[in-house]
Amino acid sequence: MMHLGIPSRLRRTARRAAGRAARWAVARPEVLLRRRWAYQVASAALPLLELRGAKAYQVAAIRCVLSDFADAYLGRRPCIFTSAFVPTELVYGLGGVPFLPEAAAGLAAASDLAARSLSACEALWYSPDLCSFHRAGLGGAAAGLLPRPSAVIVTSHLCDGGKRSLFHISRLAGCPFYMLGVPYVPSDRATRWLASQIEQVAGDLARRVPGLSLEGLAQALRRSNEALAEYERVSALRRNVPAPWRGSEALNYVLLFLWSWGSPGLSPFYRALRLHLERTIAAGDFPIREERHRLLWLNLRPYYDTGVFKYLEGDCASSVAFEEYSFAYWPSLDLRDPFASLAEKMMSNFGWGPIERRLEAIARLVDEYSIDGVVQFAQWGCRQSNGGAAILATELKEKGIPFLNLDGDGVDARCGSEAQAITRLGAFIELLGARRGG
Amino acid sequence: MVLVSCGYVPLEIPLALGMPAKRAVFWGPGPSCEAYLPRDFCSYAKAFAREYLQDERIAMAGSCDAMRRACDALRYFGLAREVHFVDVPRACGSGAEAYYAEVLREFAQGLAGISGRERGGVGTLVDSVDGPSFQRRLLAVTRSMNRLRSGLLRVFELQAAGHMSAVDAMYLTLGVNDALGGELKGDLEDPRIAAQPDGRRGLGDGDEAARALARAAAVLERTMHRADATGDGRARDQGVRVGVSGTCLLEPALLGVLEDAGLAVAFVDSCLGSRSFGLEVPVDAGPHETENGADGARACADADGPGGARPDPFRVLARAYLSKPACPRMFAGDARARRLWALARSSGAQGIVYFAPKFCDHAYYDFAELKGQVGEGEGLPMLFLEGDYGSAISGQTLTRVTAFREMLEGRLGLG
Amino acid sequence: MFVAGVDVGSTTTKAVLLSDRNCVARHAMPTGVDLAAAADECLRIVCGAAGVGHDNLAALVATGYGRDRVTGVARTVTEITCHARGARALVPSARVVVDVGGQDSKVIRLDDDGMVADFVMNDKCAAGTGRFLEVMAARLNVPLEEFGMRWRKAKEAARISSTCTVFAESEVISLLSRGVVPEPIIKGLCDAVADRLAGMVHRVGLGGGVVMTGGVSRNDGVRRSLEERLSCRVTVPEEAQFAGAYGAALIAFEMASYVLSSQVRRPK
Repeated sequence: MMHLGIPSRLRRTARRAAGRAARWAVARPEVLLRRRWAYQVASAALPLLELRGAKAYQVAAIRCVLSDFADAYLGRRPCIFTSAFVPTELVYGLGGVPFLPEAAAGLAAASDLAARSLSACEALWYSPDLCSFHRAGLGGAAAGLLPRPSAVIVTSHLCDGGKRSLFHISRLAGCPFYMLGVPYVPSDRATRWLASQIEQVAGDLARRVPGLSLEGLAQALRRSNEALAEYERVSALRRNVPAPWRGSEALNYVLLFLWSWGSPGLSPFYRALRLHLERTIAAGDFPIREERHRLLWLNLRPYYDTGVFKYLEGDCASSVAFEEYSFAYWPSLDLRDPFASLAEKMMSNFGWGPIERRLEAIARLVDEYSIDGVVQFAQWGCRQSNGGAAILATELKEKGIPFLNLDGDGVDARCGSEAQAITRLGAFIELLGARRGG
Repeated sequence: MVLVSCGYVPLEIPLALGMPAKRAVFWGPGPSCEAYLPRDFCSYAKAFAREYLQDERIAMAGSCDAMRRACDALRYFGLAREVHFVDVPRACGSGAEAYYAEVLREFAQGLAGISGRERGGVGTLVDSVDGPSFQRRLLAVTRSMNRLRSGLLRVFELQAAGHMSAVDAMYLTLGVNDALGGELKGDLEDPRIAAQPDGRRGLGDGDEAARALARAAAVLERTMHRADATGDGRARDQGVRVGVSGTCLLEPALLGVLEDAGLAVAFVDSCLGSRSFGLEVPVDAGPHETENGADGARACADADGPGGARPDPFRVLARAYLSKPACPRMFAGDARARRLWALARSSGAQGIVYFAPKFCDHAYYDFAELKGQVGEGEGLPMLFLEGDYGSAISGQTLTRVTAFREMLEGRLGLG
Repeated sequence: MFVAGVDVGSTTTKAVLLSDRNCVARHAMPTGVDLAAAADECLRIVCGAAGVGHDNLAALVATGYGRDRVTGVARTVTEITCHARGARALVPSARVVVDVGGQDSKVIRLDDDGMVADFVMNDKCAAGTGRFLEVMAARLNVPLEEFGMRWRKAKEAARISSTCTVFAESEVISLLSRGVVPEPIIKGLCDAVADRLAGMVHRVGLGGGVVMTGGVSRNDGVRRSLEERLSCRVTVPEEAQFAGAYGAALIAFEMASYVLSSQVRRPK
C-alpha cells in the first residue's frame, strides 16, 4: 500500500487518533448519529470501503442505510416509526423516512448499545420475558438513542410486542399513534376496510405533519416494484446449488428487507447483489464449495457476535440457502389503486392468518431451494413464530424434512447459550448426514 | 357447549342458537400441553391445548399471538371437534365495528351451520342468523345477559363494601359462568329455576341455552338471597384497600392470598370482573321492529339500516362489546389508566395489585404502561405479581403481598 | 429493656438482641431443615451471650422466609420491611437497599422518612441470587470467600448468561474446557449477578445512597460489579448480613416501647 511519503511516526499518531475516535464513536453513537459531518465523512469513506475489498452491494446497502439514518437523525425529513410489516412504501411515498426500532435493535446488537437499550427498557418495568427486539427498540427510544418520531404507525397483525412497544414510544415522544387493523382472513370487504384505514392514516399524516404529502406515493410504489423485480432475480439466483451467498450474511440484510421498500436505495442494492451473485455463479466461486447440506432458516438470527454460523458454515460446510423472512410474498403493487394494493400486500403476509399459510410458504421454499433441513431460530419471547413449532415439526416430519427448533435470543446475548446452540446444531447436521448415508 | 376464550366474544350468539356457552376457565394447563405449544406461552393459552369432549366447541379470539397459535394447534392437531376463530379488532371505531359485526355474523353462521347439520338445533330453533326468529331469540338472550351482568356487578359492589369476601364473589361468578355453560345440572331440581322468568322468555321450551340462562340467574339470585339471610347488613372489618387488575385473573386463589394477608379488595378489574359486567347491550324495542312482528335491538343511529330499517343486531353487539371498558389487549390510548385511576379513587383503593400470568405479553406491556401513568404519575403504589395461572401461590408471592400491605400501612401511618 | 429480632433465611438464620436500641449480641448459623429449631437455637445463643433469659425479652419479631415457624413472637414482618429498617439504621443515608440472600434478591426504595416506597424481587429463577453463586463456586472449585480477591485479579470478564443458572453453568463448563482460568469467569459471574441487580435498582429508581445487605453482600466481587453498573458507591455495612434481623429487632423495640408507654399512660 502507498503511504504518500508520510513519516511512519505521523502515521502511527494518525492511526492512534483514528482508533480513539472510533472508540469514542462506539461509546457515544447517539452523539455521532446526530452530527451532519459524521454522515459526510461516512459517505466520503464509502469508495475507500470498495478499495479495501467491500463488495459493491455491501456499499450500496450502507449507502441506503446512511441516507435514511441521516434523514431521520438530522431531521431532514419527518421520521415515521413503524412496526415490521407496515408497508414502508407509505412512509417514503409521503415524503417521510421510516424507522423500525425492532430492526434497529438488530443493528445495535453488535455493540453495547443493545445492552444499554435493554437496561433502559427494564428500568421502565418491562419484563425480560418479552421479545428482546422490541425491548431494545423501546429501551433505545427511552435512552435517547433513536431519532425523534413525528408519528408512529403499527399494524395489528404479527407481533404484539411490536405494536405495544411502539405505542409506548409514541407516548414518550408525544406524537400521533396509528394502528392499522389487519383482518385475519382476506376478502374484498377486508381489503376495502384496511385500504380505507391506510388512506385515512396517510391523509391524516399529510395534514398533521409538516413536510408530508401524498404526492410521492406513486413514485414510492414504482420504486418498490422495481426493487421487487430485482429482488425476484436475486431470489432465483439463490436457488443455485451450491448457494452463491452466505446465509449468515443474507440474514443481516433481512433488516433492510423489512425496512426499505419504496426507498430510492433499495433497487440499486438488489441490482448490485444480483450482479454479484451472477458473477459468483459464473466463476464457481461459492462461499462453501463443498456444500454438504442446505438449510432453510426461519425467523431472525442472533445479531451479536456468535460462533454459531462460523460453526455451521465452516465446520459443518452447511449453508443457509434461504431465509423465511427473505421471502417476498406479495405481488407487484398496483399504482392505480395504491391503498388497496398496500392493503393486499399486508394481508398476503403468510405469517398472518391460519398457520396453514405459513406451512404452505415454507413448503414452497423447501421445494424451490432444495432444502435438506429446516431450522427455526426460536427467539425468546416470540410467540407468533415459536407458537407454530410443534405444528411445523409435525408437518415437516410428514414431508420427510428434518426440523430443528433452536432456542436463542437475537439481541440479548445474556439470554442464550452459544455452547448449547452449537451442540444442537451439530447433532442436527449429524442427523442430516446420517439420512444422506453418512 | 361452546367454550369462549375472550370477554369480547358475545356469549349471546351461541346462547341464541340454543347452545350453552361460557368463558373457558381451566385449573391450569393439561399435562400434554407442551406437546403442542412452547413452554414460553402463558398458562392460559397452554391450557387450551387439551383433548375436548365430543360436544365441546371452542371459540378462540385473536387476543394475542399466543392465542392465535393455540387456535392453530387445536385445529391442526384435531384436539377439538370444532374450533372457531373470532377476529376481535384491537380498537373501537365505526370501521372496526362494521368489520367485527361481519366477523360475528360469520361466527354465528359457522356455529349454526354445524348445529343444523349435526344436531338439528338450528333447524328447529332459528331459520337463519339474519332471520326474525334468530333475532327474537338474540334479543331475549341479550336481555337475560344484561340482567346477569348487572347482577354480578352488584355482587362486586357488595363485596367492595365488605358484605362478601372477594373469593366468594369470584366463586359466585364462576358458578354463574358454569351455569351458562350448561353445567351445574343438579340445580335443575331447584324449584326456583322454574320460577325464573328470564331465561325462558322468548326462547321457547326444551332449549338447553334457555335452561342454562335460567340456572345462571338462579345461582345468582340464590347467592344474593343467602347473603341477605346470613348477613347482618354491616360491612366486615376491612384492612387496607387495594384494587386488583390483570389480564385473565379468572381464579379466586390470588384474591384469597390478598384477603389472607389482611388486604381488602376494593375492585376487580379483570375479564370476570368489572371490565365485563359493566357492559349493557342496548335492547330497546323500536316501532319499526314491532311492525316487523319481531323484537329487535336498537342502539345507535348508524347501526340502523337505511331508512330506519331494523338495526343489524351483530352491529349492535359489536359496538357494545368493543366499547366495554378496555382490556390490556385493546389500544385505547390512556383509557385504561384513566379508568383504573378513577376506580381507585372512587373505591378508596390505596394501591393496585397487578397479576400477570407468566409469559403474557399484554400483561407485561399493560403493567409497565400503568406503572408509569398510575403508579408513578398519580402516586398510587402498584405491586406486580407474576405466576402460573392455575398453580399454587408461592411463598415468595405471599412475602410480596405482605410486604406490600406493610408498605401501604406505613404510608397510612398504620404500621 | 431487651428485645430481639430473628431472621430465618433459606441458608442462614440470624438473631440480634437489643438493649433499648443498642445491639448487645448477634449470631448467625446455618438454617438446616428444622427452621423452628434453628430460630430457637440462635435466640438462645444471643440471649446467653448477653446473660438475658429468653423469657425476659420484651418483644420478639421474626422475619425471613421461615418467619411463620418461629414460636413466641410478638409479630412477623416480611424481610423487605425489616431489611429496609435495618439498612436505614445502619446507614442513615440509605435510599436504595439491595438485599441478596440465598434464594432471592430484592431491591427496596426508601422514602425520605426511611419507609418503604417501592420494592422489587427477583423472579422464580435462581440467577441473581446467592444460590447461583454457590452453584458456580462449586463448579469452579473456588470458595465463595475468594471471589472478591479473584475479581480484582481478573483483567477482563467472560460473557456469561445472566438469566438462567443452567445456561450459566453450561457456559462455565464450556469456558473451563477451553482452558479459561477462573478469574475472568468469576468476574463474568459477578457481572451477571450485578446485571440482574442493576436492572432491579433502575426499576425502583437510583438516587441517594445504595446499601447492600444479605449474605451475598460479603462477596466483594458482586459489590464491585454492581458499582460499575450503577456508577456509584455501594456501601456494605459491617453488619450487612444482620440487617434483616436488626430491622426486626428495631420493630420489636418500637412495639415494646408502645406497649410500655400505653401502660404508663393508663394509670393517669
